[in-house]
Amino acid sequence: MNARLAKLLENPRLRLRTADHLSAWPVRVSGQFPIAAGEVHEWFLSGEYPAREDWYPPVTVMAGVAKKALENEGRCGEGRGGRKVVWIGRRCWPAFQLLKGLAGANLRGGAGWLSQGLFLDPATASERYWAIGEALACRGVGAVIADGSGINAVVSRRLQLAAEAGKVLGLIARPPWEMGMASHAAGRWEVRSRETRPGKMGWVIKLASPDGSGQRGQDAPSDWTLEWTYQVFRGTGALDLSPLVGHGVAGTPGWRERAG
Amino acid sequence: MRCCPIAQSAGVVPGMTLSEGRAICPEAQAEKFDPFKSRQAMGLLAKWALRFSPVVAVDPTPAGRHPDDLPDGLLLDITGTAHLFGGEALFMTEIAQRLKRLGFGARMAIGPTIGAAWALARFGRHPAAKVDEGQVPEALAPLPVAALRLTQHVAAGLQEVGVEKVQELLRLPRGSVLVRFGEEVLLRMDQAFGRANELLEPLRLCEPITVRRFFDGQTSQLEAVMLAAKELLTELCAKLLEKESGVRGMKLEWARINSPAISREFVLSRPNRDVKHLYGLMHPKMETMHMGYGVEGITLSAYWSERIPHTQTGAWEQTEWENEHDEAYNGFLDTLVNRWGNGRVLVAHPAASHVPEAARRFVPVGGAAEADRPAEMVCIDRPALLFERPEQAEGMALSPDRPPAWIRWRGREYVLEAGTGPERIVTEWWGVLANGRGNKPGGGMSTRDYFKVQTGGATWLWVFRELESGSWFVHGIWA
Repeated sequence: MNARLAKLLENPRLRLRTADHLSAWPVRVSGQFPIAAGEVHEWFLSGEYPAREDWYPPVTVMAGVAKKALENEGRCGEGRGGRKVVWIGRRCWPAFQLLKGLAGANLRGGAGWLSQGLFLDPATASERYWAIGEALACRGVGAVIADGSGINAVVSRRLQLAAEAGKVLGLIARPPWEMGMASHAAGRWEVRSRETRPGKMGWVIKLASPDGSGQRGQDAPSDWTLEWTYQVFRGTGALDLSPLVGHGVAGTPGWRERAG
Repeated sequence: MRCCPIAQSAGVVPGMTLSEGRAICPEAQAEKFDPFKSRQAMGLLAKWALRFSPVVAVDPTPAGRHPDDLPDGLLLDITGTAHLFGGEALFMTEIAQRLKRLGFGARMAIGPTIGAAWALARFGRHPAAKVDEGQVPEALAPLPVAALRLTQHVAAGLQEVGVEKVQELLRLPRGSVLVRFGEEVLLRMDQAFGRANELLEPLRLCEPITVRRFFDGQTSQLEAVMLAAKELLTELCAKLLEKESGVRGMKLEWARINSPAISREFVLSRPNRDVKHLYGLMHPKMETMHMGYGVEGITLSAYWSERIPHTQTGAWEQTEWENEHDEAYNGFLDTLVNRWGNGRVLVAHPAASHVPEAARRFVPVGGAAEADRPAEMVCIDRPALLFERPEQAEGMALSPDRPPAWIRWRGREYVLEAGTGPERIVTEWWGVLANGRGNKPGGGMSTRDYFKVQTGGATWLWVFRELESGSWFVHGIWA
């Protein structure tokens, strides 16, 4: 197993807290989820894109992970990270209802999560990389979710150093064909859409090693299944890392319709 | 609703509803009244009027009879200034022409008292009137009592008893007027006729804090100029500290030999007087400034400053690092805004609209729009990624109210495995159709039946069929 990856998984400070610490969100972690502030993680949403400019990032997963990481930093009192979330690149800008829905059961909630967002629209790729670096180096920022298409190894290294200096969590979305490119990110995640149960929206996320080789140890988990649950009456959504939604659960093929 | 003269000539009458006005004059543009902007505009106009008189004030009297009406007039003390424009008549002509060039129509009057000039400007027969000192009673007599700047309540009380003109009010005994209607009526009468003093609250301009340094001869060494600029910045920040203020807008100007001066401006999101931060914003811009044949002087001016409020820190609360983070974030914002302009640095500001693409609104950070209260969002399931404009697709549904079974989108065909819907959303009647056509009033209403559909690859799309055109569109993805 990659030594860096093993160290990442063993460090207890790097775990997302389990449900006994967080009663407000239905997260039941089936294994260690190695994401923490001060690191850059790259995300690749696998799929077939008719044209290269049509790729899109796994915004739901990234937003949910960022929100949970910021909450953990605040609740546990160990982290003193900022609260702001910076979204860089129009491709990554989410719908407002996603942010409001992730906020929780309070129907009026979500305004804080939305108001803490800053949305940057750089004109060129080099300006985008500069902005990502500046945001990662800013201690007042909690998380950066950005369009990282075209990043090379040099830029990747610079971003990782900036994240370490600013103690900011960086979630960088990249198109799937860039997965083979060298990178200095702390983690590379491959995301695939999956129907976890009939009619349920979900994703399988796989942690690859930073160099993209896909190697993993026998014991350490590297696959997680997330399911998106939207509670219509509460107006909230949640990313569920439930052990009930595990490996081997297959969707039911065939055409189904449910009246809206 | 109020309207311009062009709309009035088309038949629109002030006080009509917006829909009535649009029905009469469909091509007219409507803007929502913004009291803050209106006050700002009056302030700017008052500053503009300083070229005619050194004593200018915004008229504090509300314009109309409604309690929410804002002042829409200026008061100028033209004692000793009219002759500079060739006399009072030419003075008024000059102001009227300049206002017309700015796009304003105006009524004005010159009188020996504020009350007399106010009454003639608003209620006189001529748009530009003049009354001399001994002629005030005769000039004001035929005007309605509202010309005396009475409140709506008092003017209505006088009209109830049959006193509608000023001449009728003048015939009443002062004692009975005082008892029946209060001091206000007598005070306004005395002010109008010159029997009581009335003072203006003139506009006071604050000179921006400016520091300068001129070299002994010109220099073409950038390092020397930068060093001098840094020292000037330290001096500027010391002056700001004395005033307990910070700079929001700053201008750096180089006086160049044999060349016009060159300048750069900096805008900050919060008032700041930290030399290191301000120099960090200034340094990259100085590197882009051309020195020409040499720089002979530097001027640094804080044209926009604000008071920095004092913050109370707790003894046991962990607020120190929070303040540090706030400062770091503000510095980050300033760097972005000064590099890109605030058109690319945005915050989310949901709009009150049920149309998905209209509700998703971003406004520049620190702009006037950010100060407005954002609309409450409806809690409803929407795709994580919403396209700015719906993308045209081809689709096929087995019946009109069922989800499509097949769509072609972005050159790829999808056989859909599941779907829910429809959810009907009808856009505003003044909008445009999803395909971009129908951009005239009443022609753009789009009736959309939205479906949430699942492709074979377990991807969920948000599609709709527009009933007017029969076309299918993809509006978002759950990604």
